[in-house]
Amino acid sequence: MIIEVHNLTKTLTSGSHRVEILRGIDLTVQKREVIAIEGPSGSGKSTLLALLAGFDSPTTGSIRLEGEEITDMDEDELALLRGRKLGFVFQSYNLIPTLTAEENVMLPIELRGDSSPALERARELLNAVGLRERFSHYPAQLSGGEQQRVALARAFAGSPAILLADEPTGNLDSVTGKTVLDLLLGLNRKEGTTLVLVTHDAALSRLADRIIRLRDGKIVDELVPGASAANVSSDAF
Amino acid sequence: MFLPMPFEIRLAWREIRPAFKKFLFMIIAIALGVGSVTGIKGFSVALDRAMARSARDLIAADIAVRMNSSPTDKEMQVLDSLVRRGAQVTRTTETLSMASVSGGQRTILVTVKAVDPNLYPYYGKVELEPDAVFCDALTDDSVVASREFLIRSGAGVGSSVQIGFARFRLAAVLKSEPDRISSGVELGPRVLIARKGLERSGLIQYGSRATESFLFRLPARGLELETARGILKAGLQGRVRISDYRDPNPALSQGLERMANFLSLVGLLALLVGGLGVGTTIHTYVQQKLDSIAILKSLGGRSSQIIRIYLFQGLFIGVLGSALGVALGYVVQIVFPPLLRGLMDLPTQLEPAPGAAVQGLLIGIVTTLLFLLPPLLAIRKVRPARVFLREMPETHYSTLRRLRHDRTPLICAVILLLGIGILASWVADSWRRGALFIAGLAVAILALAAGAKLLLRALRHVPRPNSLALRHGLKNLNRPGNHMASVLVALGIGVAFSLTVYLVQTSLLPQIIKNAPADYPNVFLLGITELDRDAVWGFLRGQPGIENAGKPIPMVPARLQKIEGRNADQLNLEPSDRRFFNGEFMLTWSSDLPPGTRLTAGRWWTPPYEGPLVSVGDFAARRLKIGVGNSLEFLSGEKVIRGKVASIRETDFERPGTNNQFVFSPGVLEGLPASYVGSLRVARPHVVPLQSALFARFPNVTSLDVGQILGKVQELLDKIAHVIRFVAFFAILSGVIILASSIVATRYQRTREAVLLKTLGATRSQVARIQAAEFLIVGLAAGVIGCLLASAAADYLLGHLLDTKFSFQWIPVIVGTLCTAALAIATGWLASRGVLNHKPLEILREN
Repeated sequence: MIIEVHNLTKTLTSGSHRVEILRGIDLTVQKREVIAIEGPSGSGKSTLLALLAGFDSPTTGSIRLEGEEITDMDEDELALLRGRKLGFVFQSYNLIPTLTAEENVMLPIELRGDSSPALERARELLNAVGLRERFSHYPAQLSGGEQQRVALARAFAGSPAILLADEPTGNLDSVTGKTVLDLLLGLNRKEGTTLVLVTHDAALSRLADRIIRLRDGKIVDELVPGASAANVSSDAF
Repeated sequence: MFLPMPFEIRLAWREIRPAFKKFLFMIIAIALGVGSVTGIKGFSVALDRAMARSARDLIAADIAVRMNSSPTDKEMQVLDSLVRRGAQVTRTTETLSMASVSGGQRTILVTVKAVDPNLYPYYGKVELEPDAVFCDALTDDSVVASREFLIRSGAGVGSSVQIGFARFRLAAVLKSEPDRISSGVELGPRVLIARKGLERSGLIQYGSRATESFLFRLPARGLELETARGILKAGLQGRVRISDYRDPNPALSQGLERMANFLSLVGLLALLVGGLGVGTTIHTYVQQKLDSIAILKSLGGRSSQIIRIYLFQGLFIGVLGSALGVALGYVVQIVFPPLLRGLMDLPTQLEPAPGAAVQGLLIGIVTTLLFLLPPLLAIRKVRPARVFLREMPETHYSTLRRLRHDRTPLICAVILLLGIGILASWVADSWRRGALFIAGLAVAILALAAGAKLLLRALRHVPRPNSLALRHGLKNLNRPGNHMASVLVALGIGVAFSLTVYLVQTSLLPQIIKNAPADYPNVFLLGITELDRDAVWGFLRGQPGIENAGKPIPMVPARLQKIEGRNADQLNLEPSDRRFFNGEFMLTWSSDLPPGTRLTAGRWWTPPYEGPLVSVGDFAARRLKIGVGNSLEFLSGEKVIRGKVASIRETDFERPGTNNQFVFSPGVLEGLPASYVGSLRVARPHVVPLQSALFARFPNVTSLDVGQILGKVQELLDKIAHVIRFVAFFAILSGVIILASSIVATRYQRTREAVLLKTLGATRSQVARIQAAEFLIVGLAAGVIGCLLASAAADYLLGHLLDTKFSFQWIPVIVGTLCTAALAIATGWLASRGVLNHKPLEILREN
């Protein structure tokens, strides 16, 4: 197992107001598997992804990535872990506006401290996503689709074992979205990465090995696309 | 071959590149502060060096002894002992006198310096115009005088000038004399006269006030400087000022050092305003970079790595700003000396001082880093989850609870205060002054910050103005990242400081004059001999315009010997009080309590007088620790005078007067030779004619016109204020830069707002008016806060330290506020140029 999540909860407090965002999630993901997490707004998809990435700490429960428990790690340990094991693609691209496309892609490698192959690797990946002519462009000089392709290249730059993607085509038109998706899956196959996708897009979900459905902070459904619905955890119904 | 740069530096540089304009303002703010500190410190160091280089010229001798009265026989023996050991000596005498030019209408007060032109100066040169050899030009029948004398008296070279009883030919214009720096500030233009000429003039008589200097040239061998100094010091018992070529003018060097330290602190103020600007701008910058920081963290960046990235950016600002500041400091060093002209004569050749440059560089970098600390440490709190969940609700705590939970802000504040305290102490060369500076600054900042917060809060509750521009302008003050409170503090400090200087400068003397009663003396007569006394008062009775001729006040010069049987060595006095003890006092007597004084202890005497009694001024009583009942012993000539202290008097210092510290009961000083002074009230139009008439009849009597002297003092005050304002200007400029920096930091937001307003149908001029309204409000607010603080500071300074009253002045406050507003609008307009030029589509597409 590359990802093991056990009894994960997350509760937020604002004044006297308590919000339960995740209410006991159990999940396992195999190496090289492609998982799609679906659910309506406020169902806890993005929070689950943020917890998997170690961006935030859960209220209770455990998360193990490649056997390593991450919930008791401090901020720097988590940062190092992300640098070694995780890659990200965000809906809003999240490129650093003051850096060129090439410099953005080099970042994960440089942050790890091995700067020598960074430039070659960045250019190789930018070539792979079709941005050969855009190495020195700043994000503001690129279209949305191009920015997301830079983000894809950056996500794979550090050769992560796990790639977490949050609505990667959410901000793109259907044609551009399709191109980005093809690139994402192509790179995923080539690099042998485990992919966890959060999406609203049914077309995108269908390409996954497994679909997890969330509602009100709980897993309500787990399906394998193409096969008939195989309810794994249906206590919500 | 290039060495690979650490990743953090590379990334820092990549971030600086596109944001250079934002950085530029911070760099300028730091440069201004460092420039003022380096310039003034450098000037002071360079001056010290220049003085050391031409030290012998600056005292015109190897060693010089200066005293405020004629030496006693015993003292003469000490001085002569050096001559016996091979030294050469020449004597100079400086005194005040009246002078008139034949055919001229005016009689003017002059500073007369008598020298022996065949010996004086031992070093350096007296420069004359037309060029002439000094000893040829100055004879027993001639004088040389400064250009100011010629202008004020209407004389020309060749004119006949009367000084005292004698007439002289004005031989040349005095351009410079080598030891001029030793004389300090004077009341009248300078006239050099030969010693024989001085005798002929009859100016120096018993009881005359004159400064005597003995200039020595030491032999090539046989008498070392140290030995000569030792002999003089031991023999003259600290009553005199001894200077030598190693420290030509200790009082002046100390004065200069103190002034340089004070002005450097004003410069440091400018630097701190700059530092504050760097802190707030970096804070805004970091706030705008929160997303990038979160992205870096999500990609595996550790807090320490990211802090280093921004630290390098800060260092870039600090180093570049400080280096530019050092360059600016050299410019200040060139501009500064002309400002001091008239306050002191400075050596002409000043060279750059690398020590001050290094100090400035370090202070600039450290200040930047100190102010960077809070925003840098805040980076630790940025959560990577921000990339996913920007609007995620968080748990909110009160400020106190937050502080209990996280002490970083508190620790930052302590480090900042300590750091600035150490810098201030370094600049001021004193821990005490550093601490005082910090305390004063903290009070000013707290007052300004509280004022700014209150004002911003009050503005939030202002009823909605009808004008769209004003309404939006008010709202914009609270724009995120605007740091309006910091901008108001920065601008306010500069305004407050400059206006305080102005208010003190323009209030001090007018206030003193205003407080003086209508019948107060405005003309003083000095140097009246016993023989002339009755004739002078008889003459005065016949003169028009004299409202009150007063009584002749007797003066007996004497030296204090013992207090309660103990001499200066046994009294354990501070060095400055010891010098005061050793000075010459003018003793007087009176049956009545002198006008303008009141008793603070003891009783005034009534006849019959029980033994010799003395009333002591509280100034002398405080310095010499004299109390009622103490016995005092003076020596006048060869005669010992004793008295028991009957009372302590407080003298009203605002009133000009003779202010004798020791007043005896009638009869004690009888039989001693005395000179007399007079204090008269003369109707203003009659003052000048009276001075001329008096001079024609009694040429050895010096008359001081209080109005003229106050004018001279005001001139001096104006010059000092001018110098302080020059340095304070840097603080204002820093404030302006911070405003500009804050505007540039929020430029993107402003552009977006402008575009949105345009999209909604606003015209270009409407948007421009909205922005102008915001800057107007900022300027007015900073002006009001700064001006009020300045009025409070002036009230404190005048009321508590200078013992006068301050009355609130509307005009400077209104003008100051309006000027600040105009400055803010101009700065705002310049810094936000181009914001209105963007097409809506460019900005909307970016979103």
